[in-house]
Amino acid sequence: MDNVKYFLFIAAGLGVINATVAALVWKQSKTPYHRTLFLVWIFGIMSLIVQAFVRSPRWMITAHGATVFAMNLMLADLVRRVLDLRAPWRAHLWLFAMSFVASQSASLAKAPFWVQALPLSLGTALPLLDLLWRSLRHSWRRSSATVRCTLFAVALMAAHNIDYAFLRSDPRFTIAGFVAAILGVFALSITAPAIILERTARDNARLHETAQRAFAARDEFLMVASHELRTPLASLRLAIQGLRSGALSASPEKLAPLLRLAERQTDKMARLMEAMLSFSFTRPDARHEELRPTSTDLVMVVRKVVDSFRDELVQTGSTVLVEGPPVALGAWDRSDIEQVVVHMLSNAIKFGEGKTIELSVEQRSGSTTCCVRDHGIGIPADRLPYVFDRFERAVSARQYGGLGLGLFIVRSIVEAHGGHVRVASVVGAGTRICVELPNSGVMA
Amino acid sequence: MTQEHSTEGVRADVLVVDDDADILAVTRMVLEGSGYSVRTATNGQEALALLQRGLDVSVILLDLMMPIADGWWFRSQIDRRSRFADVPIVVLSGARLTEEQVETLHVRGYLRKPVDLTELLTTVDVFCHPAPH
Repeated sequence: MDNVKYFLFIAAGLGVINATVAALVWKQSKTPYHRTLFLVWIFGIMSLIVQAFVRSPRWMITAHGATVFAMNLMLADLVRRVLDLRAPWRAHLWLFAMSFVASQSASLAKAPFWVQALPLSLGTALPLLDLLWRSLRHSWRRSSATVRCTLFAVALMAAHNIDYAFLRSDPRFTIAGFVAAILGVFALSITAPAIILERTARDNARLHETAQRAFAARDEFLMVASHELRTPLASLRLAIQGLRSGALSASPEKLAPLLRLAERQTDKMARLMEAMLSFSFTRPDARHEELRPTSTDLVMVVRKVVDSFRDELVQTGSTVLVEGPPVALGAWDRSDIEQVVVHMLSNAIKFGEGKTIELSVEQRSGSTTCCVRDHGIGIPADRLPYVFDRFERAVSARQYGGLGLGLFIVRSIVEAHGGHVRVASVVGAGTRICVELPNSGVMA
Repeated sequence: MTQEHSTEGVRADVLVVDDDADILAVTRMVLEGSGYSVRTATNGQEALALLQRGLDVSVILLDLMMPIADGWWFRSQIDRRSRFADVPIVVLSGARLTEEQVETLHVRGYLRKPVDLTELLTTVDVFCHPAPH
C-alpha cells in the first residue's frame, strides 16, 4: 500500500472512529484530566495527518504514540466507567506515561523500530488486559451481552497492541491488528451508551428501592415509637383517672401498688425518652465526646439495674442469677454503663420467655466482660449480624415492639469506651450477649 | 394470667387482651370498680383459647402489638370461626393506625392509648348494656 494512503488510512481510522470514544468520554466528564487527554489525542491525529506527507519514522512514533496514549487512556477510562470497575487508574496512567516516554527516548536514540514500539505496545496493552482481567474476575457471570461485547472490544484493542509490538515484521499483521482495534472501538462506541444507560437505570432502581425502604422504615419507626410511648401513658392515665373518679379505691393498701405502677411506667418513659433523644439521630462515634468517665464498679451497677427490674421480673416470671467478683472497677461513664446493662437485661427479660437469666461479670488484668444470657426465643442466624444496628429488630415489630435501639445503644456506648460487643444465639434456646470494656475505659 | 381449664358457661362483660401486665391490671381494676366483670389474656392465642373453651363475653378489648400471637392474628382467627364472629371487638392500641388499617381489621371500635377513662367506660357500656331498639 502506498505510504500516504497508508498513513491517511490510519489517521482517518483513528480520527473518525476513535472520535466516538473521545466524544463519549467528553460527554461523561469534563475534568482537566479528560480535557488534557482530548487535546493530546487531537495533537496525535494532527501529527498522523502531517506524517502522511512528511514520512519520518521518528515523527511516526511520536504521532502514533500520542494518539494511542490519549486514546487508550480515554478508552480505559470509558471501560472503567462502563463496567463500574475499581481499577487503579493512577497506576494505569503511569504505565501509559512511562511507555510513551520510553518509546520516545528509544526513538530519539535511533534504536531499532521494535525497541521503540515495544514499550508503547506493552504500556497500552497491559492496562487494557488488567481491565479485562478484573472485569472477567468480578462481573462476567452477571454481565449482560452488551458488557461482554465491550470486553470483546477491549480484548481486540489489547491484541492489536501486542501485535503491533511483536508481529510488526509483516505490515499485513499490523493492518489486521489495526482493523481489529477499530472494530473493537467501534463495538465499544456502539455498546457504551447502552451500557451506561443500563447502569443509570439500575442505579435509579436501586435509589428508588433505597428510598422506599427508608420510607417503610420511617413508617415502622413512627408506628412503634407511638406504641412504645403510649403504652406506659395508658396505664398511668387510667390509674390517675380511676383514682379521681372513684372507680379505683384510694385506700392505702390499694394505693401502694398503683404508686409502684406509676413509678415503673415513669421509669419506662424516661428510658424511652433517653433512648429516642440520644440515639435516634446521632452518629454512634459522636458518643465518644460526651463520655464522663469516673471510677465505676460494674458489679454495683449490675446489682442496681437488676434491682430496678424486680417488678418486670415478677411479672414475667424470670429470675436473674448474678455471678461475679465482689467488685469490678474501671474508668467508665457510670450512667452510660448503667444504660448498657439496662438494655441488655431488658432484652433478656423481653425475649426470655420467663426463664432464668444469667448475668455474669468477669474482670481480667486489662478488661472486664459482662454477659447476659437468656433461654428464650433466640435470634435467627441470618439476623445475628444486624442486631447491633440502629432500628434493627430480629423479630416482628407487631409482636415485640421496641424502638430497635437497645442493642444499638449498647454497641455505641461500649465502642465509645474502646470495647466491643459479641452475640451468640440459637433459635428456641436463647441468646448470649457479651460486652467487653477495657478497664482504662476512655482514659486510655 | 388466666389458667382456667374450662370456661364453659363462664360469662364476663369484658375480655381484655394486652401483653402489658400493668395495663391489664389497671384496666381490670377500673372496669371492675365500675361494676363490670373482667377476664384477661396476655396474647391472641390465650384469648382465642379462652373463647374456644366457652367463655362468653360482651366485648373484647384487643391490643394489637403483642408477643406470641398479635392482635391481627387474633382478628383473622376470629374471622375463620363463625361462632365467634358476633363477638364485638374494640381495638385498644398505642399503634398509629390509618383509617384503612382500622377498616381492614373489621372491628367495632378503635380506642387509642392512652385512652380516656370516660371514653373507655362509655365504649364498654355500649356493648354491655345495649340500648333497647
